[in-house]
Amino acid sequence: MLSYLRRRLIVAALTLLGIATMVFLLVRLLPGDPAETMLARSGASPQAVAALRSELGLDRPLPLQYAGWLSELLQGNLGRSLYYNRPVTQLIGEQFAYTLRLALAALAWAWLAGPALGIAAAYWAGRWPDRLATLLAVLGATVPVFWSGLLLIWLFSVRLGWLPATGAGSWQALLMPSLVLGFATAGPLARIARVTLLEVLAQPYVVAARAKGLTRRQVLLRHALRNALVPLVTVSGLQLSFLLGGTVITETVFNRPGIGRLLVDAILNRDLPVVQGVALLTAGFYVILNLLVDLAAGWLSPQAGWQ
Amino acid sequence: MAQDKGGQFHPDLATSWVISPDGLTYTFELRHDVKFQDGTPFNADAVVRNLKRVADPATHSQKEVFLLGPFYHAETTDPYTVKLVLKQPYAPLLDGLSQVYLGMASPAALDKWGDQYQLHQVGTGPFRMLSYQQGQSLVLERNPDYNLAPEIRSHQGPPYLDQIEFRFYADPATRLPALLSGQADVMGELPAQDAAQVGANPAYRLNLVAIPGQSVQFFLNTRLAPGDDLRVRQALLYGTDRASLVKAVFGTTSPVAAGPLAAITRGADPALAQLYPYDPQKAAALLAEAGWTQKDKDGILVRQDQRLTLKGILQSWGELTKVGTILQAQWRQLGVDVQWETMSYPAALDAARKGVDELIPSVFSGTDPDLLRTYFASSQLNGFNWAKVSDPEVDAWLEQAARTADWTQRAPLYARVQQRIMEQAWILPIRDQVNLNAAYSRVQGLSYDVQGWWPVLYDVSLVSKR
Repeated sequence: MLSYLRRRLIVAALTLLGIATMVFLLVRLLPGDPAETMLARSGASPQAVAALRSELGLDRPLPLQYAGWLSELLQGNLGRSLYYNRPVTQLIGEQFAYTLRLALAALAWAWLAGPALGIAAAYWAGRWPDRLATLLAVLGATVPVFWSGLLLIWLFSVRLGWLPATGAGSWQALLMPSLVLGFATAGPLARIARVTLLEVLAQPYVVAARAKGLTRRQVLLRHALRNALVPLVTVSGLQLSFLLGGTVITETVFNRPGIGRLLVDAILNRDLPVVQGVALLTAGFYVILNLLVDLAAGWLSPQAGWQ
Repeated sequence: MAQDKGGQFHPDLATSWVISPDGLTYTFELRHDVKFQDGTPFNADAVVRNLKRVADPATHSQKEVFLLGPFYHAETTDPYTVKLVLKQPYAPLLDGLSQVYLGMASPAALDKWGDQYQLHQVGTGPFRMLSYQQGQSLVLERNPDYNLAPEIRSHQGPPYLDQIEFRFYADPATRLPALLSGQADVMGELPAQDAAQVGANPAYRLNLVAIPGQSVQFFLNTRLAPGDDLRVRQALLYGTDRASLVKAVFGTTSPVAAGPLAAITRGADPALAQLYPYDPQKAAALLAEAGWTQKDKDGILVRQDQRLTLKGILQSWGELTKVGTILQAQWRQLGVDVQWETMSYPAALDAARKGVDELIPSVFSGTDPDLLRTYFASSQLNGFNWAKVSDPEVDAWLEQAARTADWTQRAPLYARVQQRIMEQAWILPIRDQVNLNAAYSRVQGLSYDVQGWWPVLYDVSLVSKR
């Protein structure tokens, strides 16, 4: 177990280093100059742009920039935002609280609805509850958030006046965005629960359990569900890392602050330190959550094994 | 000082100012009775401290340092007199000093907060900063001690409102729902269609605020064929039905632009409106004169196996995609093919500086016509001179106008520059920028400052609960 963990941690660290290098190179391939972008809005002279470029170290050779950035990174320093002139860690810290709240709320909705739909679909496989559940799951996976989000805003904020259209200050403001995201996240969970349960229900041991006299419902809830938990947890882990990094559309529609908008704004402003910091953070979560999911799957199911 | 809509300056923190005959030294007399919101006295030392901070490269000031122009140094001559010295005469200085960007900061707060000052600002104004959450909100509260309203405001003494919360709606589509659902009483920069919807609703007041500065325009690159031929550029202007274009995209909210400056800008030449009426025949004749006489099977003009194709940049702001589509359709009738490429702002800046496209969109706000220097002086060929023009006469007029304090002498120089720009068809003006604001009917006394973007909240009051 410990050697497995150690090996996984080394792989995770190497993955992060690889990601850090790629992020560093990719943001420098973007067309457009950060210094020029920063100064353009004030109408500064070419001389001022050149001075800023040199001050930001953008005129240094790439390997030097990379080495400098990496050594700062190892000391836990993500640099200062070019655009806001504030430490990147501070910016990310502020925005991450909003993103985490939204992601966890969305995942909670998804867990309330997704597995239940999947169980219903498997229990009544081929009948109308199955078709309804499948329809909902497909809708969840395909209806774009900017459309369902605006629809909810129109209904609950503009027409009925029950919920704030936008913002992030209160739990009421969290309801609609988390529902929209949760609905999108529930779809895949329902599909996976259904498929796994049907697969398990066809296993010989289930037939044996049925022969013992257990009802279909008892078999489903006591035996099959435990097996279905493993893929559900795996998928949820991936979904959570996705939710932590990629909810920019929801954030935009509901005008919530968050990591997604921080990243997109940083890309548009060529705010390289922020782009690098957010990309690294998102990748880091992905790696860590993957690790946790693997450990959880091992705990839930002896077959997955810790070798 | 405070600037009114006629471009006149009125006493504010400075009670009077004298400009030396050589235009290099500005001497300001300050009010004696002012304290910053933290109790720090406002005086000449505070002003000098602020100016030095802006000019210090370590501060990374961008807009402010630009507004100070050729600033050299500042010194106090007595506790309430400041002398500001320039490296060369700079007529737009008072305009810059009157803008919010150069508001005075409490020296004590600057000492206390250092590079975190932006999150803890302390000024002399009618409202003080209570809290700020990036990307979400800025809350200001009433400064009950405020008693310095310049004479151009509608009342004196403290402001009427107890508290103001600014919320940031980065995505234009989210603004109307926020206004209609009561999350905001005042909303700026609505999309044109949403503004029309609000305008039809008696519970709201639509407030169209013309923004002075550069009109929304496309620069026409004069160094790339086929746009290097004056006749081709002029043909594009004659061949564009700008009135229909603007009406189709912006309805009646935005006027058609006549030249490089929005009509409301001080010094904008009204004579330009007569130039380039929509005249497709004249456009065709000019193109024929330039040798573009044959059309290929797609209806695009050809000259010695070369198609009349232009490359243009579009961006996500200002409904440019729609503008581009209509331009494409209009020019196709002339036999001109335009290929648009949509770019992010930094990519567009880069491409425009390198001069690899023929059509580059631009807009820039500002009250002083000196902004023309940024876009048409040959010293900016590596910067914002995207038409890539180098005209010694234009350079001389712009330079002279920037150094001349007397407006009656400056205005004719800018008129000449604008006429040259249009005669030479260096730009295709599209429309004057208008900020589409709407307010819930309980909001009273709302007006906008001379820059057009900033609501004057000092005079605002609320007549009822919502």
